[in-house]
Amino acid sequence: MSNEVYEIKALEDTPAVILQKNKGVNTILIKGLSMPENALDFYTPLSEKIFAFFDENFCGISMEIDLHYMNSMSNKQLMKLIRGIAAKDNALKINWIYSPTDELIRMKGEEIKSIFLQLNMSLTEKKV
Amino acid sequence: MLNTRLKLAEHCSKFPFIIFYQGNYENMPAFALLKIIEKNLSLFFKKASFKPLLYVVIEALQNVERYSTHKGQSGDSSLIYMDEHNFYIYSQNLIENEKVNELKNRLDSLVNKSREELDQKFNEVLASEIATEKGAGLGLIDIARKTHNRLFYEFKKIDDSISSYCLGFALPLERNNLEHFPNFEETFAVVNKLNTCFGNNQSTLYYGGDFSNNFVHALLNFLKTVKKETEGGTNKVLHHILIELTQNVKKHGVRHNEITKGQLTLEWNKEGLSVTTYNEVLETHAQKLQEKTNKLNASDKKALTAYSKEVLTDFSTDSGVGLIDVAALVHPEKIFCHTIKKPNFTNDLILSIKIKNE
Repeated sequence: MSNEVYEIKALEDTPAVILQKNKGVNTILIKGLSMPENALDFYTPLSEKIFAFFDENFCGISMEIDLHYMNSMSNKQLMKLIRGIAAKDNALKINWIYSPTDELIRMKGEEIKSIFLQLNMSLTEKKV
Repeated sequence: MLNTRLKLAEHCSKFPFIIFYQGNYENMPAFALLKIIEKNLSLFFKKASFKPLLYVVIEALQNVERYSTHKGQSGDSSLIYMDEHNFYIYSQNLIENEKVNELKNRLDSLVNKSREELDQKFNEVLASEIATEKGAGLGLIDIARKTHNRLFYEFKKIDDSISSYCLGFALPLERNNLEHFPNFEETFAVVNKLNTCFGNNQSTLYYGGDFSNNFVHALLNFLKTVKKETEGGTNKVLHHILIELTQNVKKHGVRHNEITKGQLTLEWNKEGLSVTTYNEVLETHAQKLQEKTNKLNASDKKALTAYSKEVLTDFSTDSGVGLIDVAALVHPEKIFCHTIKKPNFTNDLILSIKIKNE
């Protein structure tokens, strides 16, 4: 199985996304800032892309979420995305990364973890 | 106090764009304010046509930065707005009495000069070796040229050492179309209303215009570059509250000609910061919002956390938790929500929160 990568570049209001399939290791990285005026315009096509990209390899996905800001609409859409992926991949792992000075993002990660209790989700503080 | 604020909001809602900043101009707010203005003007005009407007704005703002005594930050302010025909700039700053005569003489020498005379004077000063304190004295001449001398100025002595100096001018929105003389009476009325509402603040940013993300980014840039840490400059909690409140205006506000307008006021005082938004919404939305803020204001932190989870996990809708986040972050302060019925099934909506200094 060759290495396949799909990348969405970060824009002023939306994060970078990297999808990767490499010898059975499937990863999703969402990194940057997420504050689009209409979060559906970003997260709906992203969700469709993720399902199309991983298709038959929808198992054992590792998701790394490293956002330094997220507006409330992005929060909701990210929840929907995680829920959708977890429904198809019961081995989904999530690593929520936050800066030690970023109380808001840490709290958001804890909130998501407390909602998806069955998920394998960890919170990782960045080293400064 | 609500009535005077409402009167200001209603009065200024007729302008496509307005921005007022009163505060410490030692922090050099000119370019950050310019970014906000530029984002708005780009909605109405091509960049080439509004470049001259930006140029005189920078001149006026940098004059305040350079020449104010900076002795009382609430004494320095600038107001920029547009009506259908003209773009208005008004600045006010404190100046040392010993500098009044020289400045007044320079301004007096410009008044009543024709464009040709001003061009000649501009070239003379440019070519001469005489330079004023912080430049070649060209700024005021250039303002007079570009505005076709449609300007006014005033000096008011405050005490033995300082005076207040104000300068107001206007440019036609359509270059060189001098058909519509500027309404400076309106400028005075707006300045008076602003001073009545905000004169006692340490600092105020009052804005009326578009609420797209272009404005949000320019607003955050203003905070980060002009305001200190203690005033919320780099405070992520404040940024999140502002993003949620301003994006709510965009999301729920009534659109006119593809633009969602509203007003935002940030007021800094020794107790902390007040953030207020004012915009037009549909009546049905106003009612739902009033009910929601009543519920949020009645909730403790535990209830707010539970409410947030309830909304986040309701996947039958795309409703977000913006206002719940705001309520949780300002708790135990409340969200002030006031609606005023209008005849066309819309309401004017005011939302206001206070962030106390720690």
